[in-house]
Amino acid sequence: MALLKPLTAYITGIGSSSAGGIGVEMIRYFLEKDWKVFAPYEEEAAAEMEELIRSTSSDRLTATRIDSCHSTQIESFVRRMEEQCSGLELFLHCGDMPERKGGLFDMGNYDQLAEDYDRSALGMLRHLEQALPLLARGERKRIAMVSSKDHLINSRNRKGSFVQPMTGVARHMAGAIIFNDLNAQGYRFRVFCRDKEGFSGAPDIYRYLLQRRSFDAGSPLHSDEMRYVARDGTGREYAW
Amino acid sequence: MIRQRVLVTGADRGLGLEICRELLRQGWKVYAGQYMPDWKELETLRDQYPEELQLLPLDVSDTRSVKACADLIRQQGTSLDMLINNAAIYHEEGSIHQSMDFSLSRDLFRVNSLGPVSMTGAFVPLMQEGQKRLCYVSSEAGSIGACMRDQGAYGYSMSKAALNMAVRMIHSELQPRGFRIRLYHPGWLKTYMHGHKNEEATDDPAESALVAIGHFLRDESPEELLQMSDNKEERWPF
Repeated sequence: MALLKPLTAYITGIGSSSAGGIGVEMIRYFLEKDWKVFAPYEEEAAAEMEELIRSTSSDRLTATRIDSCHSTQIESFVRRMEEQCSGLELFLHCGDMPERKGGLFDMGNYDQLAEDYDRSALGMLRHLEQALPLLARGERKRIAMVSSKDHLINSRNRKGSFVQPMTGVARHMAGAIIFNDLNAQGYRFRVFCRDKEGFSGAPDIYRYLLQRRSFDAGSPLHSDEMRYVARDGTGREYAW
Repeated sequence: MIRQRVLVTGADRGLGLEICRELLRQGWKVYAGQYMPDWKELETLRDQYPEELQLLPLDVSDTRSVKACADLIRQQGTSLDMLINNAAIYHEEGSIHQSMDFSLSRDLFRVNSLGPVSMTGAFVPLMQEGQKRLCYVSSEAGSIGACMRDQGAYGYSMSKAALNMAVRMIHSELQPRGFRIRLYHPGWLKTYMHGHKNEEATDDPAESALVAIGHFLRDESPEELLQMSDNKEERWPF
């Protein structure tokens, strides 16, 4: 009897959008669920990722430190991925991030802020561009983002640092354009918005990302297969 | 006569120039942020209004330039009634199915998103008296809920969505302190955003400037509600 091939996920944004955090948690959870995981990570998450690589006994994790500002490094990682799998089931960008300093009157070093944006928001596009041919050969063709309620313009009503929510909303916009381009070709999208309240852990996110939803665009609660929507762990849909 | 004072960024041509022209007609003292000194339309306008129009060198993506511009106004001992953040650039990276060119995408964020935040941080201290109007020229391209694009212009759309988020946060912070925040989509303008004059576009910058100024100067009720409105006076979702 032939063994079933493991499902494959490409998990990005580790350390470009968060200091490991939920991204590392997601990698660990996908490994527990027997997925094969490809996970490039940034300098900022190096300590957490190296610890994960040391502690995991799974040979299903391929993880390398890269800089997502550089297309050539991403291309090289994706070439390695192509040698190890014939298609991707899921592209996941973990864009949730902790608050950093940088209010209206103390934004700090703008060069650094622009570089953060480059690595995180443009980095997501660089990864997806390179991974798209592999995703096209997968069955699920699923593109997903882990985001935050704080990165929704309609939900953001408090003060705080500027650049993280600005970067987060830019990623949502990139997702909208990609959705318009790819949804009709069978690609499905999920945007999970974490909240400080419950239902925001890796199991909740995993469940939503892989859940089957309705294809009926007239069904506002469940029509995620044909619409670009943001939901939280309770299934509640949010305005952008 | 005490004139009301406004600073307009990206005033060299297009919508910014027309906003300056209209506000001068209406009797305002206009500080025009000049990025392209070789482009002569602004100087021609100054010849018409030598007392009322002052040109200030300004690159909104450069924090030193923003600070120097604020210092120039501060040294004159004046305050501002209105700041109009109009400066923006445009660039297309291509399709995600090909090799995208991200070389200018970081600049889009610097100019279109961080520029207005930097300007706001630098000029709000000069706006503690007067009308306290903070105005931002955004775009429908920044509306995720009404996104129609299916490729290209990723960086531009992302930069305008980021600007909308920044304006939301500025609104949360400054509206309770008496500032009136305006967000405007100018329409598809016959301007030079693509490097050459866009003759295919449908909307005239002078007409859009007139609607923009009406929007910027009108009192909204309630001010607690931030909305993006366009040159047809219609509202856009975020």
